Amino acid sequence: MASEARATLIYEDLAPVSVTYSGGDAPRVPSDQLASATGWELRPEGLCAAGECIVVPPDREDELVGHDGDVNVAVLADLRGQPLVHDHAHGVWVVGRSSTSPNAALASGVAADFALPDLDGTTRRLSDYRGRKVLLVTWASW
Amino acid sequence: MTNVPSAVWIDEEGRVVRPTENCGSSDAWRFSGDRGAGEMTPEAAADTNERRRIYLDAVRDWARNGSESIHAVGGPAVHAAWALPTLDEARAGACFRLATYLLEIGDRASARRWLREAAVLAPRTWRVKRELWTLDDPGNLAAGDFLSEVDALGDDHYYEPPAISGMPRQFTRRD
Repeated sequence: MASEARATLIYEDLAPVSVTYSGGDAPRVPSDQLASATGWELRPEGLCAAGECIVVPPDREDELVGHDGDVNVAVLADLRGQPLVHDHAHGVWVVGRSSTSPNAALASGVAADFALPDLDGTTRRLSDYRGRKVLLVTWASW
Repeated sequence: MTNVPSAVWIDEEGRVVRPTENCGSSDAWRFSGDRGAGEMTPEAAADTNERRRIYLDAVRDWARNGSESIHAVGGPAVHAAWALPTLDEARAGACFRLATYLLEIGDRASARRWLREAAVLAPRTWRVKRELWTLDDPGNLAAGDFLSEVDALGDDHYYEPPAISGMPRQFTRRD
């Protein structure tokens, strides 16, 4: 039985998550953690996220999903034309933006629903302001 | 949003109606005052204030008129601004994200290595270069080769002016 270690996966703009790594070209994500780690879900029609689905070519299905149901991050990245970089010393893998496929959020034109603390420490989400126009400004104090 | 000052306009449905753009600065700082300290001559300050007035007038027009405002450009302009990165730019973005994570966990040496990789892949991307230059000189606006690379821009912009009616394209010096 192959030994299993943990790795850190950062998928696009999502927060880092701890995933299983048992060697090879990339870590694997259990299918029930795939959505929280990457935003993608395995469905009968393929890989789906935010209203977008991509069909997995039959000859890559076994490569993408192992017999244990875990999803190979390298294959997921390759299917979407995403770069995958890896820092061996820290066991960190980063999947970057696709150079071939816009993500569903960009295609929709809807701003990403981020959350930040206000001056009183209360967390505010962009979606809290639905129904009002938002001028979102970044600035510095010099 | 990777530089300041920048702004993006978002409508009541959460849709972006103006993509991220410069909103209150100009390249006047390149040609006047103490550039490293961010000081400007009165002439450059006046130029910047005029650009802010034009920009704020556009914001007010959008606030009053919504999607009828000529400044709410919407769909095609937004998607054009969100063009897909090239292969190298996408890989540079991943290297940059990895570097920021390594900085967060305190490994500056590894972060520097990944930032250098990103700078090779995307040599024109300011956020990568400036992160690299300020790694060992935090808080210094003119760290590393920043000013010499800005000078090398020539007539190209550092702060691309927003495409708003009446907004000057260039800062005109009176040397």
